[in-house]
Amino acid sequence: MIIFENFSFRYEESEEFTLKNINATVGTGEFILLTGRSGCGKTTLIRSLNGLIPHFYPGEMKGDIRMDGDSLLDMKPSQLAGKIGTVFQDPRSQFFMTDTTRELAFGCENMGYQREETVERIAKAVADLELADYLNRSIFALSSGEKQQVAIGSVYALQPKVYIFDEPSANLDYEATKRLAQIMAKLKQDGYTIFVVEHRFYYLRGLIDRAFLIQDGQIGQEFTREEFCTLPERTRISYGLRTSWPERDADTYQEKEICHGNGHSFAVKDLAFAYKKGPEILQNISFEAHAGDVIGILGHNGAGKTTLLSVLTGLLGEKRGEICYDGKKLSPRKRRSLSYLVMQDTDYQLFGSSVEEELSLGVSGDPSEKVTETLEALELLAYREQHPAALSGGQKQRVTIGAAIVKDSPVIYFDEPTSGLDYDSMVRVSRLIEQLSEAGIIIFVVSHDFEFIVRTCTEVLQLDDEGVVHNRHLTSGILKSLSEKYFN
Amino acid sequence: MESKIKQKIMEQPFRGTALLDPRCKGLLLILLGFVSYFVNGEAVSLILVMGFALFVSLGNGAKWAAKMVASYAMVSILSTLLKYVSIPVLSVMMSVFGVTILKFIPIVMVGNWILRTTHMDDLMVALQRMRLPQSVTIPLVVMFRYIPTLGIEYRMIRNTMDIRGISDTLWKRITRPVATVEYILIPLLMRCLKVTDELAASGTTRGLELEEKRYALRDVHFSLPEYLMSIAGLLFLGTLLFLDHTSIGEIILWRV
Amino acid sequence: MNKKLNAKDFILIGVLTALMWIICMIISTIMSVAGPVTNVFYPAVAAIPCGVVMMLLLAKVPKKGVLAISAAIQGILFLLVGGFWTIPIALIIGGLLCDFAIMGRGDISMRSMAVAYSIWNGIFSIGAIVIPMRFLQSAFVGAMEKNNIAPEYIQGMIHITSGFMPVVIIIAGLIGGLLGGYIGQKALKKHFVKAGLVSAK
Repeated sequence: MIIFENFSFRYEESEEFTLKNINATVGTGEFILLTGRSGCGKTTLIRSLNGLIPHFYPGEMKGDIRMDGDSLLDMKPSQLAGKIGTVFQDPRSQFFMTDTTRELAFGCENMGYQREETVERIAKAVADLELADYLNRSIFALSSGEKQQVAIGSVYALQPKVYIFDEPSANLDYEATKRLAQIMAKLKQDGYTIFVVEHRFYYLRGLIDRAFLIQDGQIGQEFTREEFCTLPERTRISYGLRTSWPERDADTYQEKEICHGNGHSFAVKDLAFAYKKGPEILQNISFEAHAGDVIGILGHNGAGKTTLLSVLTGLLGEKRGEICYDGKKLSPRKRRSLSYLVMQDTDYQLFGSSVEEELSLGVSGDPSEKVTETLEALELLAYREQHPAALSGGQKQRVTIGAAIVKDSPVIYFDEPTSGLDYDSMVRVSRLIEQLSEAGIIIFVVSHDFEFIVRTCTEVLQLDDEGVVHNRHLTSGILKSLSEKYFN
Repeated sequence: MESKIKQKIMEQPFRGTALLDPRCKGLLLILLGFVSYFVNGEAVSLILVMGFALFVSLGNGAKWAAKMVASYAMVSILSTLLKYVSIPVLSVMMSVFGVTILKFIPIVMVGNWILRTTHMDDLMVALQRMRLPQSVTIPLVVMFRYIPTLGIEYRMIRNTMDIRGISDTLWKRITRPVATVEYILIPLLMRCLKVTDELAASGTTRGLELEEKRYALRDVHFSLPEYLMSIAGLLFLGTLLFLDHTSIGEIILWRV
Repeated sequence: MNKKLNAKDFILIGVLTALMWIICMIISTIMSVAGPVTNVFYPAVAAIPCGVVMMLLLAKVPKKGVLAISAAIQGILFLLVGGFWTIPIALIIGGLLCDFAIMGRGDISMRSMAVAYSIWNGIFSIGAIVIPMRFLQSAFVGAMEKNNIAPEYIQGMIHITSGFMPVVIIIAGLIGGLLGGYIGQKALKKHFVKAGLVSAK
């Protein structure tokens, strides 16, 4: 049993309390969803559970958190290691070892277990979570979903009683999310207490016992599963929550009218790609796009979506076939100058020391007027002097979109633009993309986010395992078949 | 089922010299680096490379060793050829470049082999048994894990720079070198800070800071094979140092 | 404030030291190949980009021992890749000295960081260039001759390290370190302090 007693926390460098008077009792074996707008304090709450607060993130605390009678706040994260296990958001950066078997053993070895015991524990984790296929592999060769499962396995081997998941689905595709839900169901069935912080929580709708809506550092609302999954649309949106039933959007979908405004076109003919000696990853890719199209690129992890983006943007050269803009064949170099890629990881994309400077980088001539205009359109004017790294995730993303606008790119690519975004930010990105398409820009979006795809795209390209593309105008029928594939 | 899994967990992909204690591998690498500086005769240098190539070949590194020996021969021949053409400045540069590469080849051969054939938990155990404090073991282990990732991150940043037209041409890089370095270094450092936070959180919540005695999945001991190998290595290198001062050190191998 | 180093600090030291060491290796290789004149000044030049990284490390973890640990690890790495034995020794002694003698008193300030880094870099220049070229010259030159390094290069190396040149090399190392520290602190203020990731004192 975990009891929050009037718990408040203020980060050392911050003036205000991030968490204010949290009171809650969570019983053993309960499955708790923590959700709410970005910056509401969800992450801070779980950091105080696993000992990172106050050990790594010092600050001022009031109240107490107790687990089975003992205060958690006195314990270091390493003391909590066998009691509370945490699976973090980004599977890429939570690995200490370079191969999967050692990663599974990492926690046990830290605890100083004898070899036999470590092996026993890993074997149990592998058997229970069905990880046998991933043993003895290099972590650099795993997909995000596979990495995530190994990360869970490594925590499982420590046999904690409480599991914490911090936005576990943010980097996963639909297949991997389904698998994640299965593992969570197993953990719940075995009687573990589980906390999940999540924006896109549809896959948890059969699992949660209670949902805490965190608002401004407090538990604003508390719901049972029934209450939470049947929230009226308007209430849900007013809380800034994503939907529990994304597949229902397929029924209400209305086709968007496309105006092919200025008539620019983008065509790909019989494109193929392979790394130097390797087999062809992409082949026979042909499609056409016109100004104003918003094209969703779909396919599971490893189907080659990111590679396709790299070829289209000119970061990689094609092996065969051609890519044309307004009928003219483009070299990779020309493609780079025509396109703009908004990556999932904003860290790699921000170079300037202020938002204003960021937008004018790499642009010839004096762009200051255009920069101001763009900042205004993106509601970033108030931040023009700030450092891009100080902004929130959604704001950083808008800065990179702004740079695309100032650069005047006629083709813009988005890679997973909604990962880790709350409802409001997701809607905002969707609207922005709509505005860009109205301005005659051709847009490609790689996404797993069904709710977002329904809202935003006009066409879809589906990549299958052979790297072949099927191009279809987005209709309610296609969405239904997609939703069946995704959600059943 | 359970026993099958256990078998798979204990599966050992490495054989022969690759199974030596990491301390032994490290010792040999340091000795190699130390001696290669003082071994200069062409014949003796070749014996040095061949000796270590044999050592690497006996532990999952045959292909790699063959590749490195071939490169060694090629660079030797090329730099000999270059002596017959003399272009001012450039010839000198090429001769120094050639020597630098020749000196580096055995070290790269063994160093990279150690990186590939050492399980990280073996390394952590070995460092702990050397009674090194966590202040040295953790950074070393993190480097082991992070150096391959640095290359990937660098590529990602360069990709974005190319698309955004930031220092994307040679001309821009030459005319504005400071800005170019800044545009590469700053996002890289931002990324380092973030990765550190995440690695630290994931490590400490799994008990990284505990200073318990560790046990790797495999027995890590500095025992008979390690002593024998270290002595063999010392004798080999000592003999080479001696030979280098005899007439064998004067043999010219690479001639055209 | 908690002055003891924790796992997070060690990880940051590992990540940033890896970066510094790679930068240093790239610059030293390019500059030694380019000619004897550039060769002897590589510690000074490498200190400039590395200074940015080091200033970030010291500002992010303003605790005692950080510079010493980072220096020791760079020393170990140089040892592993066959660096001349004077390099690791100079790095480790310099690291200890600068960390505890120069930054040792009281809180670590921006100024003491830059001074300590500069002196450490001066000591690195001594270990990397001055001692091998000046005091172990005959062994060094003999090695180069036998290695078929062009005689012009060897002559150049002897010439550039004779007379009062060692002093110039050390001073260059100090200035390189100071410049690296200065640019590093400017970059810190421009980016990391402004973004709220590091607090400057």
